Amino acid sequence: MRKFIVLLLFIFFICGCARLPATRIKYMPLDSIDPLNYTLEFTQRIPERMEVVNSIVFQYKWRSFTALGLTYLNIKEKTFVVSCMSPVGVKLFELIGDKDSVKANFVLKELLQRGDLPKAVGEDIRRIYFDNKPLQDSFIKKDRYRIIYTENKDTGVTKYIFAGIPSRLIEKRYYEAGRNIWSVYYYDYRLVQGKLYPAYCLLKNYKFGYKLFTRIKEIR
Amino acid sequence: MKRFLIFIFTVICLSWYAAYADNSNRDINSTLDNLEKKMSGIESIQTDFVQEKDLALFNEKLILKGKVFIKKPMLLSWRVFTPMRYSIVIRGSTISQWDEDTNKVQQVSMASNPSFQAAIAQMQNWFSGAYKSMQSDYEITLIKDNPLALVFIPKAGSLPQNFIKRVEIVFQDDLRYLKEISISEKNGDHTRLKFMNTEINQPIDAKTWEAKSSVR
Repeated sequence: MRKFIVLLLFIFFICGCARLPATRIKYMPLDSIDPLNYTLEFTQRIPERMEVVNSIVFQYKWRSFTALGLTYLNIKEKTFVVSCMSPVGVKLFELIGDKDSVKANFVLKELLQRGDLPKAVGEDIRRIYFDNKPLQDSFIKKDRYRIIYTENKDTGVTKYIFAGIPSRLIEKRYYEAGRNIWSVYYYDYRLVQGKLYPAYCLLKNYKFGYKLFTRIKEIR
Repeated sequence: MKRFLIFIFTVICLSWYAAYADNSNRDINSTLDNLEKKMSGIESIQTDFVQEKDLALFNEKLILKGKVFIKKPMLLSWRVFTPMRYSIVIRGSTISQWDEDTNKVQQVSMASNPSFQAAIAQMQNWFSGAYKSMQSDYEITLIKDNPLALVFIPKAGSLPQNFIKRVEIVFQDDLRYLKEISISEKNGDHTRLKFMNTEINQPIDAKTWEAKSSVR
């Protein structure tokens, strides 16, 4: 029994140490940084519009589902168009949305049987790509390597965690009644024509227990 | 008298049209017979492909490149190299999938996936050359002789009519395999699949039938 427990611990340790398929930001001491100006360069480099081809992995319990996405985002206007297909090119769903609503242009019949897919996808797109700059009047907490900007909204609290020099958004967390509902982690920022694109994003939805990974394959 | 002449003229025109339609039916049937015969000698295929997806809602095309292997009676390996690395292998009723992001092989049963079944049945129809069996669903027309090109228009009331507008297939010069297949959908999407470097009845590496392998 003891051997079995040791083996289990070893497996958990190995899994826990599994290398993330993305580069983490280089943490730098932020002692001399003014938090009010720290995010300025980052926010100026957020593209107003972007069209990307990305791979998408949805992980729920022990199952995962991989797809290919073609996504157009107007970050300024908060609108999006997403077409998701299987990696062999069969269309799974196509959605058009804005900050409040989503319209399904097409959804494969089988996918509709598993709940309101357009609504869930629309919410995840907004969580990952929209509202990625903290407001001027955010509550600021500074530690040695990170600055956390906290915003209170009607329904909950959003925390923006910035690190590195120059600053990069590394995590966005959302809480309701003190409980972490979801978090988005951003890795591998790419600077293309003066604009920043997070090439690898991981969304963890703690409320529903799933993970969503997106990796940019092409920027258009 | 004038009415009589119009009647005679109409009868002649209809007879011509009937004769023409009969001839063109005979032409298409003999073409399909010939294709089926040529393609029935295929035991295995390995071919590179480029898939261009022109989606109505987007300005730029999405391009996928890879390689497909088919071996009778029921082995298929579809490998995508760009924009992401992915492979799906179908052995009888078992489907194995691998992708570079998860780096895991997942197995799915064909029986529990009706959508997979339908997609694979469609794929088999288009790639096998058994087009005569598709005449109940499509009006098939010969549009070019050299290279041979066929157009498939879904018939009224058929299942494909709900989503497909037109399918065009262009064959390789020796008629032994497809050179290009273009599918225009009713929603404005267009998919073109081009096949290159096609090898017929050549040995295929056994690793090709494993989803996670470096076969290219």
